[in-house]
Amino acid sequence: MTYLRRALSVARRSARAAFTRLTTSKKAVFGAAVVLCFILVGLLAPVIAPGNPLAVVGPQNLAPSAQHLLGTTGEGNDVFAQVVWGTRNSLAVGFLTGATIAIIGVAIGLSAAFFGGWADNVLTLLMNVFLVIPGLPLLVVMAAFLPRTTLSVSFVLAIAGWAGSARVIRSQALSVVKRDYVAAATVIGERPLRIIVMEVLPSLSSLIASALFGAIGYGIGSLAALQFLGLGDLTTVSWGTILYWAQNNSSLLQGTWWQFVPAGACLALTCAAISMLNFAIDEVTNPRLRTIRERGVRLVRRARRARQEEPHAA
Amino acid sequence: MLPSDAVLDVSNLSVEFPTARGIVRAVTDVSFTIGRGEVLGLVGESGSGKSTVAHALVRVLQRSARCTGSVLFRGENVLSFPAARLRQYRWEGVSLVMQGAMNALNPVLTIESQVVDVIRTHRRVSRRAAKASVPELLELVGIDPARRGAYPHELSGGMRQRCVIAIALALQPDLVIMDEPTTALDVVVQRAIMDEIERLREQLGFSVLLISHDLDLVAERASKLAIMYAGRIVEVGPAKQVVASPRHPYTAALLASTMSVDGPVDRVGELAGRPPDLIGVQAGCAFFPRCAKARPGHDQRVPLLREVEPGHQVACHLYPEKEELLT
Amino acid sequence: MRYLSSRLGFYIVALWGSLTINFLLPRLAPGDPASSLLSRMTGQLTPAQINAIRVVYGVSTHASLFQQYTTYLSQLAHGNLGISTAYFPTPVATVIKSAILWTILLGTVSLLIGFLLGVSLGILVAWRRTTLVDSVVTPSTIFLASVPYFWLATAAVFVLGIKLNWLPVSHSYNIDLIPSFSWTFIGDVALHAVLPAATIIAVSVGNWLIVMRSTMISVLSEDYITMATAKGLSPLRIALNYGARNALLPVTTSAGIAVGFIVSGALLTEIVFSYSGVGYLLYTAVEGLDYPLIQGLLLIITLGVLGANLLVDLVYVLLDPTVRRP
Repeated sequence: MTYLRRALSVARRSARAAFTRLTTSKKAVFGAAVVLCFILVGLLAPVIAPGNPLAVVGPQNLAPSAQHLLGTTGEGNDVFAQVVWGTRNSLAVGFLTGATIAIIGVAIGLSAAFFGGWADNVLTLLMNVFLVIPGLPLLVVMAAFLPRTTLSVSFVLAIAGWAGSARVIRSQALSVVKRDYVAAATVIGERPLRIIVMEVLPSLSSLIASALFGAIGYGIGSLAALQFLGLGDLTTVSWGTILYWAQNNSSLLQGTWWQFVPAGACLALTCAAISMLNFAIDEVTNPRLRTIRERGVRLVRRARRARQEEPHAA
Repeated sequence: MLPSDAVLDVSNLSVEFPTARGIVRAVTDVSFTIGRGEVLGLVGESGSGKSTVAHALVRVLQRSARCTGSVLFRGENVLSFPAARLRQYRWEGVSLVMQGAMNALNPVLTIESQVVDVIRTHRRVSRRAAKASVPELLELVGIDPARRGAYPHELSGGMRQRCVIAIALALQPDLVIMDEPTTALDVVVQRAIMDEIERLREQLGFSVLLISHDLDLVAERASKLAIMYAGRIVEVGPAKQVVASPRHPYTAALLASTMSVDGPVDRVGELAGRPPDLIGVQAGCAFFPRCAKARPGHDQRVPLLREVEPGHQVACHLYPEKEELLT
Repeated sequence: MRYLSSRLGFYIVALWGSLTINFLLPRLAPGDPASSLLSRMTGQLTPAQINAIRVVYGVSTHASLFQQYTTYLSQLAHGNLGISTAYFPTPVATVIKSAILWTILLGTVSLLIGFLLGVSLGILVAWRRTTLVDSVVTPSTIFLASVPYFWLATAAVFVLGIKLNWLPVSHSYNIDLIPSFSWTFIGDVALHAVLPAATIIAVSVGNWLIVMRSTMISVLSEDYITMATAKGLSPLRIALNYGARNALLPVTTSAGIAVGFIVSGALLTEIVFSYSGVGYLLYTAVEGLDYPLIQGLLLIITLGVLGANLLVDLVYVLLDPTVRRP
């Protein structure tokens, strides 16, 4: 499969260029740092908070103290341990869902764009129907009827969320497919799969990355929403389930804020970080969107200082 | 020409843009005058800076651009106009027909409203009065007045071009800048548009700055011709004279690379190489790498414009100043 | 015209799609929820009611799948969404009817304010691209827009409602009051709507701002903006008539999808605030495993979102002359 190797090298080259641009973007650095932080926490959970997070370790509803950094839940579990261990489930399912959606989205979006004709019409109709049906009610209905396991929840999330990525990739792929070099490849007689992988995919790499990040963000957020509603696997420890038990425990009314603030904060931070990363990738593809400071206003000031006379405005 | 006859007097205009790779000097030390009722043609290949000059004259360059020098309109320096005076000067004093004018129309407004809004911005007239002047304006450029309620997408490219020209004349400005008015139009329409502009100019008496890469077109219509290369003017003079006896090797190459229908069947001249990168200060003559008549030493100093015949100037080391002959 | 009729046709297809999903789910789901539902309720229902549910879910009837499908569709056409098990024996349609007005109230107000605020700010941020504004406003709104609705809602409830006790945190009105058209009641309703609405607005403003900003930035680099500047038009006119009027077009097309997301967010917000709209109803339905109600809510909410999409399409036709007069 030499063409795969070649396609990979093209993708690698564009990735390297994008990488250099991204490392200078403050948004990207912030986003990546936060996400990596959480991944680390999830991986090192047994080290940071050893023991079973569902074990009863003390009296219920204790406020944060030296013994229990974030207090205890309504069942007497350590909140800190739960939040740390919950990172695993939230991130893992989020990434899994995101990857699934991205793969489905790329496959369907590319096919629709490349094959065109009635295949495109059918796929686009399917995409639009899934896009217009409101997400949460659909998720709730599906999750209510299916077993409450992590895998089925992930499946449900993918079914409800694939259309967004597919549509975005299809519209960009359409413009690439219309380009002359793809037409040339078709005329030469290259097989469709080879054309898609070698010619079309590399130019879409940043868009696919953006779609992937968007899907992961959606996965993490929607998983938490489903779990918050009680539709997730309530035996696992996850940010969403922590919030569910907190809501169940009326922790707001009781004033036991430590039972819902930390998990929610982690959720908010992670989603925001992923969104920042996504935005930074958009800026790489459309430089005009960059905030002015990142566009090099410094260059203008330096040029102005270097000149002797006061210039007139443009 | 006496300064008082000049509509526009440009002196040492330079435009710079900061970019990631460095400062681009798009225009360097450009000077020319445009008299009343005169047509000045500005010719150069893409990247020579001619559109930048056009945009600088009405100050619609991007925000990061920095202009130096002076652009005198009736004695006042446009580059130092405050905002209100600038808005007043725009379109009333000098109007601009942009390159690709067909895309310069707002897609969500009718042609009529795009004429009316510029009239009402500059003159205190009622909407009805402004609307009343639209049919006449459209007829001037050969468009059926019944189409004034149309949106740009409902008109052909040529008609849109004419609409833009009509809007440009709405306030009867002293100078109309036309940047590539005929590119993207077919030859027949090209001729029609240029004839129309000529007719309007005679009728209304405005001056024209005609910018193009098409030397033939400009030579035919302009009274004065200026050739631009790498952001500088390298030759300027009466159009007929410049075409008949071009002094700068670049001008000669441009003329040689065009063919005339009734001229001799000849080899089309070739101009090898590419225009220079405009980042950084040029050491000597910018045309040096591509010049057939280049001699050692020409890349040491930038040649300045000097007069070789009355009204005809060249910036070339082949025509040195008298003082330099002595050195 | 053609555009609108094709959009309408699409929405009909989408509605049919969600109806079909609704129909197939209980029949395809593992564990046969329909039978378990019936076995739970056997002691409480009359044989006629059991039969009715059997028909709806096709349990142990001898009708083919297709026959069940047609029966289901005709029932829907008559407005029969089944009978709620949690609020037995109230029909689903009645239960939803009482809640939907609240959601429409909250949803429309938040949507409109969020849209107007977000779009205006987006225009401003794109037009006045000063370093300060761009590097402060933009990242902070991205952050706000990616915070999950319900977490912001819980935070608001906690801080403003409980700790500071400024605003009521639950329900859509004070249960001691009798609903009427008096000023006291309307005022009370408004007060109860402030926090939920503010939450939805806070998150959705970010989205509108980001989208409007990026479309404005693209539009501002177009030639017709340069020509408008060269014409000496006032900055306000250029920003609005030449910039925003064109930038709003892609924003409007994405507004349809955005409505779906905002509705989902509104539902979650309702849950946190125990606001008596369809969102809270959905939550209680899930808790009580009231399948008929859950399904009925999906249909009604979908209908609402599709209706809103149609409205958005209408607005688009008004804004874009290339569609109005091709």
